[in-house]
Amino acid sequence: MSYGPEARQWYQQELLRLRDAGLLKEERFIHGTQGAEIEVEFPEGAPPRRVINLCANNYLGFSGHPAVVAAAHRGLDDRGYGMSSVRFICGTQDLHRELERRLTRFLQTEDTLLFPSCLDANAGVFEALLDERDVMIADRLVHASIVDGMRLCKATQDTYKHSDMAHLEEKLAEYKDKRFRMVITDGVFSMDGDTARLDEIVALAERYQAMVLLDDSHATGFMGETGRGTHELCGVLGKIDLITTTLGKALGGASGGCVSGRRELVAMCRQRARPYLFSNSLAPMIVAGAIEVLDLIEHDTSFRDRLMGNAAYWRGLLVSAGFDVKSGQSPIIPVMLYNAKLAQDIARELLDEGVYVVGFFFPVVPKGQARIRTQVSAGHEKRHLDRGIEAFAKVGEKHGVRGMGRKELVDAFGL
Amino acid sequence: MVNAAVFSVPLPEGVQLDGSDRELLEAIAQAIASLRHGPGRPFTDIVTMLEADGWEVRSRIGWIAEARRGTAHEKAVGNSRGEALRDLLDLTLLDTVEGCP
Repeated sequence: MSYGPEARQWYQQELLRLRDAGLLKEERFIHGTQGAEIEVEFPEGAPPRRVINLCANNYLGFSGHPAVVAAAHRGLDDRGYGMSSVRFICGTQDLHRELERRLTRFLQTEDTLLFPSCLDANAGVFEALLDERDVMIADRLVHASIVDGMRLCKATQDTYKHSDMAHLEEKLAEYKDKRFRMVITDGVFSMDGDTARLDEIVALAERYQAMVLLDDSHATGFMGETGRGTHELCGVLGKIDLITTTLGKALGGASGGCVSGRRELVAMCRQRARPYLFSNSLAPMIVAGAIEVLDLIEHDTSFRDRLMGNAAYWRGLLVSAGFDVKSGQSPIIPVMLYNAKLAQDIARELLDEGVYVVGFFFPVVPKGQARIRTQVSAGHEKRHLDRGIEAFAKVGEKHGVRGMGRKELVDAFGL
Repeated sequence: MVNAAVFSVPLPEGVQLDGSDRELLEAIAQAIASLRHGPGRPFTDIVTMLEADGWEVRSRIGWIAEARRGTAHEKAVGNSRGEALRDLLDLTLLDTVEGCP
């Protein structure tokens, strides 16, 4: 028996250590569809409670949207449950290629390749395109899947300080003798909800002849005037060489991701990206649902307009109620508490008050940067946000954190 | 120590060996000993086997830099200690925090 008592005991102790350190990730069970208001069972076995959801990536509210669900049903009925194959053997339906064409048009790129997830796209894209003659220079706060993808690639890895353009330029100059240079950034950073300085990154990339890869998972579908993403917001449509993004957030919230960009780069991923080559194709119902999402948003900005309106309204409510909120313009609005226990306590009490949020602390965010990350959706109505702020105000008042900035919070609660 | 070889080389005028020089010399001597006379399969056999399989093989002495913190472990290899440590620093900076999903 390979899994003997020694191994079992080691894993049991490790799990206990995580629990004792407050690092154990626990699931809460949602009864029903994802949405602005959900029924949550927590802890396991407790009767479900109806709560307002302020922590989903359901930015445009499409996770349970009737038109998207109906399209997925049609996809299931017409094209079956699964493909039982990778794309290049017998796993490509006309629908897969149609979705790739539609994403290309929406993102205003040259071509697109679907992946099982954006994590897979990021895991595969670097190794497929770069080797030891090249360099990857990433913002230090890029998504974990980019870090993993870079580690799988033999090109030199380097980083620049978060959104520090002078440091990026220094790095680009340092690597001028490399064959290819690739600058890598998120569009909207998931931790703070801030936006990449993409216009400046593109200008530097042009000056130093570097490619730009943008992970726009927290932006596709709503950032920018027509929701194309951060490249639209920053006025650099058509100038980003590679965009990786997800179907698992604004574009329906099921699963799936893509690499979209220069024709040859996408074609090379089709030949060499291992998660594409060795994973099953996206299920037809997800493809059909995603096409429906693009039908809904390609010529209609009302969903993203409602989302951005909700984000501004919610941000204003939090600021007026005296919370320390990270500045930004995305629907990710972190409420800063700095102390890990305080963030956990407030999140738990908010659930008791009917608001579902999660506290984030080290190692998910830097030490001394604990926060509650709130996320709004186009699916929220004003009454949801008004009820949400009532709960925040009540719990915040109880802990005495309202009106406190960083210094006061750290002085009162420590880091 | 079973055997030790002692040899001397002239130093340029005014040069004094410091701790880093001694450490480097010791590392080189250890590398020579293990490469030429170490236990296990002769490295030339492995090179021959890989070349027969179509690989173009190069091996050289280098520096390894490692960093551990809790369960995290980073390791970088370089032609010099400085190069290995610089790469090690880049690796640690890549995932200072896990980040949010």
